[in-house]
Amino acid sequence: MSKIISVIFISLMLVGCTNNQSSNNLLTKPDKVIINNIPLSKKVKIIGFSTRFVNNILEAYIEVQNLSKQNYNGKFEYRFKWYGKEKYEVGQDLSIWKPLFLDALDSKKITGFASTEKAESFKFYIREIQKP
Amino acid sequence: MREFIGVLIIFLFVGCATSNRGEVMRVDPKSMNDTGLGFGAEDLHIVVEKMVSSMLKHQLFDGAPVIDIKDIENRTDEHIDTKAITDSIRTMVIKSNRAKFVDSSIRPTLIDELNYQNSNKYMDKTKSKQIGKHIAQGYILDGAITAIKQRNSNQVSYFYKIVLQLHNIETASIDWIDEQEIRKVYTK
Repeated sequence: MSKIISVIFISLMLVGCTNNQSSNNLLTKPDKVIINNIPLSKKVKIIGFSTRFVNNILEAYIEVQNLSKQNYNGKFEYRFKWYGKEKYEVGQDLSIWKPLFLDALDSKKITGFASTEKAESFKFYIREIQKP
Repeated sequence: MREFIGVLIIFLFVGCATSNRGEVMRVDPKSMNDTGLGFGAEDLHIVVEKMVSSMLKHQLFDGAPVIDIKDIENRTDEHIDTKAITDSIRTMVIKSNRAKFVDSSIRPTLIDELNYQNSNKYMDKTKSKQIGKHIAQGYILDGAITAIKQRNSNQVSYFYKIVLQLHNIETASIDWIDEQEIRKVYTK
């Protein structure tokens, strides 16, 4: 368990445009929540996270809270990325964007499962839903 | 702080000024780009991710089970390529090295080939594959997808439920089962 370095990022998404351009500034800093998107950080908050192994596969729990008093239901999406030794990405096939349904001031625990024993660390991304 | 705001405004301006109309663009196949209420690629990805994760967490996948896949029954009134779901699940689970899969539908072809290799006098017998090494499946994966569609004057709602299960061939018990629900609402 000590080999796990859990890294969480809130990705920088430029809101207000329907253009799908995104800028993710990835900063490697273990065990820290790094907020790159200040407007988004006023809407959603990472309350906590933990990891464990199930059948020798890394599982991550992230607790996210909607800070808005308005109903942002369905306006967020998230994805996990999994990394093996030397920070190579593994398990990309199951690293998909998924919708996150959060009512006003609601919080939810999100589970991510690496699907491969090679995963030793992860990054978590959350953003507002992008329109094509 | 002023520098940061300045950079942000520039990014927003550039982002808005760019139009993609009339262009063909490649997009991340794993992104959410819902374009309709029907069962789409995003739903396929969500179902596969959920089912594979659920399977690999289950203790029976510690023992490298051998699985055969049957069709997922499509109980909806729309065309859904359910084989795409099972193909993706099989691919992901095989990549995880947690299970083996057999395809009983191709077995007659494999047997014909084995018989040919071992009976044909023109074949190099030292390189023929041996008869009697097929592995027997211990589980059969099947399931169903159902849909409930509702509409009123200003809203259309689609609800999908996908259930998958693993039948233990020896005991006839269902050793693993999970379901995924998807609901989409379109407001006119």
